Amino acid sequence: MKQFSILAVTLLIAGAGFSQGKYFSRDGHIKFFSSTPIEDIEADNHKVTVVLDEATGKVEFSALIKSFEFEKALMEEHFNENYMESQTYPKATFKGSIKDFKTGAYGSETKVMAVGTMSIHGVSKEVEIPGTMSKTGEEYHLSSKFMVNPDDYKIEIPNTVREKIAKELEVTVDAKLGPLTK
Amino acid sequence: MMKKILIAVVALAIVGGGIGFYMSQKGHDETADVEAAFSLSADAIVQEFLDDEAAASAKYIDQVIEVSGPVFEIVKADGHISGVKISSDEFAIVNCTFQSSPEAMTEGEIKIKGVCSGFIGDSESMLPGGTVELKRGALVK
Repeated sequence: MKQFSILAVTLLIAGAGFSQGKYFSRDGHIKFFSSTPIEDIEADNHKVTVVLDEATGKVEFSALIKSFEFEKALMEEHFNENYMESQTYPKATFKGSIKDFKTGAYGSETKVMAVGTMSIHGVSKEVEIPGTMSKTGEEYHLSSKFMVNPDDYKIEIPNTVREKIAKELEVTVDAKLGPLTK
Repeated sequence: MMKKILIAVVALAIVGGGIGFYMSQKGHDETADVEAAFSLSADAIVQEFLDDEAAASAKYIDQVIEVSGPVFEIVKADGHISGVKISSDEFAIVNCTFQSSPEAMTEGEIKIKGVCSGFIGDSESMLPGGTVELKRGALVK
């Protein structure tokens, strides 16, 4: 009976740890889209790492700049070499937390605000990003759409292509996070 | 004489412009047709990045790498196979997205190749270990 009690308590602790643990994905999707009368440009990264701590609402996004894929090879090369300088600044990250996070409050799609530090091209800025969050079973679904101004991150667009790239880029984020068991 | 020079200049401009336009519109090389610069196991390449990220980045990024190891997860999008994760360790992963969806894949040992885009993983992250990312991958066997 004592052994059974110990087992039950152990399972309870493990269960509690599991239900308020971390959730993650390595398959998060970030897309950016630039639209001008001359040209539409879009790129996708389907390998974004996302981690959410269900106990605190802390959230992290990490994306390799070189993992953004463009349809045209030259555009991808210019993006990496001329604008993002991805050899020097290989990652874009967001580290922060979901404002007013409440564990267990996301049974249906809920509007949230992520507050924290966005680092792109070696420049870090405090930002507030609107999005939605929901939890179905053991899966969190995070999504967001927001605008980024390349000037804010000291990304210089040469005058020769200035007309082809929008002043603000639309960024779409979508990630489904499963439990992290380690 | 002047007319001939003018024709030559115009012809060169047309050819040059044509080449420029072609280059700007060109897609990516088919990774399946490119010979890999390196061939190693998934565990070995992740370990190299964990040991010395700067050295491994200089060596592998933008290179076509052939990676072998056990399938950790087959990734699907819209019913198609979009990628694969290779590893025997949940926190030391090679994460590859495919250039063209393979029709079928089975669990077990596989070999793929893809263009290395770098490494995600740092000691300050909430996620332990690290991930080597390959893009425009192709199934070798």
